[in-house]
Amino acid sequence: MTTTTVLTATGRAIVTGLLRAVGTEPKTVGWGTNPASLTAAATDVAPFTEAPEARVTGTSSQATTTTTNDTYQVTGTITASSGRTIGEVFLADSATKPTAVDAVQAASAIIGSNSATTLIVVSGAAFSVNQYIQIRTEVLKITGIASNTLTVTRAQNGSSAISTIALSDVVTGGNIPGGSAVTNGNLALHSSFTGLALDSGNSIAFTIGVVFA
Amino acid sequence: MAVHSARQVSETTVRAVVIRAGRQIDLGIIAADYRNPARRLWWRLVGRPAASRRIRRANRTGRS
Repeated sequence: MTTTTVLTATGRAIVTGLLRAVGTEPKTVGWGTNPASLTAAATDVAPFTEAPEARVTGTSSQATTTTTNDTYQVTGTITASSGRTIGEVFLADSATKPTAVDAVQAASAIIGSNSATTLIVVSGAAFSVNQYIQIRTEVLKITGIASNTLTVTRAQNGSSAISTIALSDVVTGGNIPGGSAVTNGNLALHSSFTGLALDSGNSIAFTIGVVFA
Repeated sequence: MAVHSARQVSETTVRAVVIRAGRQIDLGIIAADYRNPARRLWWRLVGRPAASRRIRRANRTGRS
């Protein structure tokens, strides 16, 4: 796993939209466990494994790194409701989590395959055709739904098809740039890092900075 | 004539402070991405390993 922080492709679209005074400022902070120690990428449309704690509305500001006000900064603190290890943090433009979340079920053809195109979830009703989903580091597009079986197109939004999809992997809906099919599904910035172990009641105060230069 | 890159985002960083039972553990930058080649190399060789060490040390400190 590479420790990194990236403005996603969707995040760039949010920024250009805001320059036109369109859209919502992505100052909501959320975190996840990232149990597989995956590396965040600009192609991501959703966190790897969002934790149960609610997202928090951060405090945004302008800061100076090189030239005056060249940095967009968001601070936010999240408190663990039980012991867990946090390995990712992100910025989104919604404090509400998407409902298009499920897990890979047994007999899904995509388990262990970088080319299969069927995925079985607990409830297909949580998803819609033409939505995008993320499993680990791959973004897929839903092209068909039959009960709890999703037909998908692999390697979307510049991501690569992976052969490491496993049983119980989290499936999370998210929007590619310009998309809106997933309600509350805009991931603007994604960061992965060495896991921080927390006990219940422990908190992490994050300061996230994006420098434009 | 100078050639200017169209890369608008030169760096992104995440700083973290862990709060345990009222005690604050400042971990500094725990994740980053830099466009500048020298900064990028520094982060890969020095910054990132040091951040991981700080996190591992914090994971052993003050936990119940």
